[in-house]
Amino acid sequence: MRILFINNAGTGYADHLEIGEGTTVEQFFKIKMPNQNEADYLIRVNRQPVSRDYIIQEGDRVTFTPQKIEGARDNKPVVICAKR
Amino acid sequence: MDNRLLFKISLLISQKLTSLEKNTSIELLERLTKLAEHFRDMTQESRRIALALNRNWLFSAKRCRENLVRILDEIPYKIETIKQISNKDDQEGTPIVSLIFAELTQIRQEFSDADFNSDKRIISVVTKPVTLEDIYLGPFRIELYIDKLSSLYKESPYYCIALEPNPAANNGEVTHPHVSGETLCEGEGYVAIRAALEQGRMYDFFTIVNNILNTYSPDSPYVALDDWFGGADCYDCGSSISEDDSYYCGFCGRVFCSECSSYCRSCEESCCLGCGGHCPNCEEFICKNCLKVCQECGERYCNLCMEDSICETCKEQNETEELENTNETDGKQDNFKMAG
Repeated sequence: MRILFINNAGTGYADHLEIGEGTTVEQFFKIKMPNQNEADYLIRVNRQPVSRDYIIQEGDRVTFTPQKIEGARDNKPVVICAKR
Repeated sequence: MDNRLLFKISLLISQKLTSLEKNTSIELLERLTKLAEHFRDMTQESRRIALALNRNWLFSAKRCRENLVRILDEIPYKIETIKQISNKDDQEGTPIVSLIFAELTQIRQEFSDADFNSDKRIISVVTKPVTLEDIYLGPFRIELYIDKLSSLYKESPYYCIALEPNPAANNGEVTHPHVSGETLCEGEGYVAIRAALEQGRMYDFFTIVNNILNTYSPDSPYVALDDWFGGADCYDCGSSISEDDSYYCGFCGRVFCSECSSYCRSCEESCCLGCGGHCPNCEEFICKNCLKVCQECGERYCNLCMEDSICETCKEQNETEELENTNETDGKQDNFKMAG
């Protein structure tokens, strides 16, 4: 089963993934975000909040957005701001 | 915002993101050209080394070798940035209008006061009031300028405006530890924000910015929350002082409030009360550098009240004594004359 996964904790780019039938959101979170706490994330499927036992469907768009994202004085990552 | 307006905005965003794709390709081309120039420099430098060796100019060869190392060092960075830009092309193309429309619908549902300014082409949402470590910073309006989406990687397309500003005491521009001049320093969110905008995920964009505004990173704020109500205390009275009310004393190197500080009426330098004093003659405040010791009485006076290292009082006294002495001498002379 193919879904679209967006992890806003990382690069934020969308990935098409194959997952098993009957995978719940909770299971999927544990696979993709090991050692992370669900409470620290805004978890949405097709832009809507869902319960942890929601079974992901073919073509769903699953988004994980951290509740806490640290800003910084330096606006850009080193590799981008170090234009020469 | 009615659906018709939302659709219009969606179309506009889609157009701008198409331009962004074009701009990204232009940027890729520019960087490739620069890389090619870099390789050309490398070839030139290697020719110079060969020439220097043929003529047995060993020092020149060494200088060329150093230049070559510098050129080589920059190549991995240049390739990395080109790869980053190229990889963007691997992502899905410009998001379809219906996807952007769905995103805007979501924004309308979840953010209060979501608005579209048709004149300036701005989408804005208002966050809930932000409080970080018990400091109330108020709600922020996040304004996204649609026209700036096409140059996403050159300038920030959005601003965070404090609606009930409670700026740092030391800097009125800083309305949030990570916002200065209405620009958010995104830190960890930099890449995710750009990815969300590039893919037309407007709802994700506003959510990420909102989450950054609700997070405090003590490692790299413009102004730390600990210093929010004044970065420094007056060295003398200990009261918290703002940037506008802080005065540096160049003599002791400490910061004071306006009450505990003054300026020298002679040299006009800022000076704390402990590093200066009042001239006993004119009673003006003078710094310790401009207070001079009178050679006669040992009192300290300002430059203006001294002449030839003698205070006015001593000078007057001396003049009187001198006059008296002169009179006495004149008398003696007369005496002498008379005696003679």
